[in-house]
Formats: sequence, structure tokens, C-alpha cells
Amino acid sequence: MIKKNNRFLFIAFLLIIFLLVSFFTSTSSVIKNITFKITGSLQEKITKNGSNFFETFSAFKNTNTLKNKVKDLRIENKKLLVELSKMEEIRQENQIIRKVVDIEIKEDEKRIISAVLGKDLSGFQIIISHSKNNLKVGDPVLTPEGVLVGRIIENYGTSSKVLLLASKKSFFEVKVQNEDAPIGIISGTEDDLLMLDLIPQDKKIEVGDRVVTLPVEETIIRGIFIGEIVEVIRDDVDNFTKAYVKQDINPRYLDYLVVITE
Amino acid sequence: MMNKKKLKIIKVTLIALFATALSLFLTSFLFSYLFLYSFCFVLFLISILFSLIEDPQKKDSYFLSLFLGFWIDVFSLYPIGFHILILVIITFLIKVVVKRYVQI
Repeated sequence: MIKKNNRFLFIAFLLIIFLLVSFFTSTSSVIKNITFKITGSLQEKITKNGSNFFETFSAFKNTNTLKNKVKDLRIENKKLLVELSKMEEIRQENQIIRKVVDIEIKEDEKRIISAVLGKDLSGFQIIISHSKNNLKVGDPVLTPEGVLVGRIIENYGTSSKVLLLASKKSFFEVKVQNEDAPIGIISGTEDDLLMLDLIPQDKKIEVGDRVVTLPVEETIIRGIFIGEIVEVIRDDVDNFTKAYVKQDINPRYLDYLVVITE
Repeated sequence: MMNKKKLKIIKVTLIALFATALSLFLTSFLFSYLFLYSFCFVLFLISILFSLIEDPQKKDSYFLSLFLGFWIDVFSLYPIGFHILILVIITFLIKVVVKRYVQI
């Protein structure tokens, strides 16, 4: 028994030494990167199959809701098409104005497509794989449609960890797109909705207003769509207005994401 | 003697495959349906149950703890070795308690 205990203590000692080495050096990152490289393609396939399976399953479950939703979406799609044509006009006009005032259009941003590998322990971090090794911590991560979902917090080389906006650890300055264009701080609630806070009482915000990013840090690009305001909370005692923002993104069905890097 | 060694290698390989398959299944296939820390909880539970069920003289549960701990570490922000150490210590304590105080 004593001999066996000694052997166990020796193994535990070796593990502690290894733990200390990996804590003070980058061994952990190297091992994690190698592991993700080996299992990456397999995980990618399993994640895709998993999300397809659950998507099909949930579609069967909510047939009636889906029918109504399709109807609504068709109407909304028509409205958006009209809006898009207006926007296109404005874009062309804007380009001409930029040329006139001689402002350089910034086009040095690169978009890198990454596959979702899996979820982290916390549930609000996901692991993505990418072919290029030039991503930086803080780079914004978007859905293919262009909605911001999170930012890179750890880069292992050809795979990275992304902190989702829904996490309570995620907060940064954003702008509301309306006449007043108020600036507030958006943070995760670990629920479906995001919390928009610290908006001055005198600034007007309404349900349906769009929330976009502000270039407060080097890695954040102006005007990335985050979501729409669904609820405004005004408190007479508080100097600031709060609001809930809905993203309409279901992280369950994210197979690919886009990372913007410069 | 040779056969015993071969059998042991096969056993450890199977345990490693089981731990890998389970971890990848939990983090990839059930990716969207995992609750907060449930991945960690499930792997801890499996390791503890296996240690309780297994004959106290056998050492297979140590290997299972080692591989499960490795996968928890890979998918967490902790350095590699942290959860391995915790799981191996838990397994050891369970074995000692079962051996001394539980009579089957």
C-alpha cells in the first residue's frame, strides 16, 4: 500500500511539475493548437452534422410557427429589397461625394472564413479554425450575413477562441443609428438579449433602432451591425436609459464565421 | 506475459478513444445544447462513476481520468494538466475510500 501510495505521489508530483511548466510557458497553447489541428476537420464535420440534425428536428417541431415566419419574412424581404435599392442609390452618391472631397476609401481589411469547431467550457466561447495565421486578439467575428457575434480572445495559430457577445465578460462602446445617434455600452446577459446601457436620458432611442459598432479600438471597424433594440427601459431615478438588443442569431446553427482582420 | 501487456495496451487505447469520442461528441455534436459547464460536469461524472464501479485493485480509471482531464483542459482556459491533476487525485481518493471502507 505504501509503495503504491509512493508511486501515486510520484505521478502526482510529475503532473504538478508539468502543470507549472505549462502555466509559465506557452506549452499549453502549443498542445492545444496541435490537438485542434488533429481533430479540427473531424470536429468541423461533427458540428455541421449536429447542427443539421437539430435544425431538421426543430423544423419538424415548429411547422406552424415556421409557416407564419416564412409569411412574415416574405413581406419583410420585399420591404428590404425596396430599402436596398434606396441604399444602393445612396452608396453610389456617397462614392461620388468621397471622390469629390478626395477621401480615401479604406479597403485594407481582409475577411477570413473560419469553420466553427466547438464550444468552450463556459458556453459563451467558441473555437474556430482558420487557414491563415495572421489573426489578432480583438479581431471582430461576424456571421456570413455581417452581424457581429464576438471577438477573438485567444489565438493558437490556426485556431482561435471567440468570446461571444452574449457573454457577461463582453462589453464595448456602440452607437444607435437614429437622429440623435447616442453612444452606449453593450454587454452580454448570458441570455438571448444583449443589454445596452449608459445612454444619456436626453438622447432618444426607440424600439427598432439599429445598433452598430464604433471604432473605439484599433481592431474594431465602424458600422458593423449588432442588432435591433426590442425594449427600452427608462428610469426617472437613473441618469441613463437602458435597452435590450436582439441579435436574431442562433449560435446553434453557426457553421462558418467571418473574421475581419487588417 | 506478452499477452497481458498487449491486452493492457489495447485497453488503454480503447479508453483513450472512448474519452476522445465522448469529448468531441459533447463539444461538437451537442455543441448547441450544452449548458454552462455541463461538458466539464459530464466528464467529471463519468470519471467518478467509473472509479466507483471499477475494482479498487485495477487502474483503468486512472487512465480514463487522465484522458478525460486532458480533453477538459483542451476546451478550457486552464493550462494543460490542471483538470488531469484534479481528476487523478479524485480517482485516487475514491479508490482509497472504497478499498478501506466499502465491503462488497
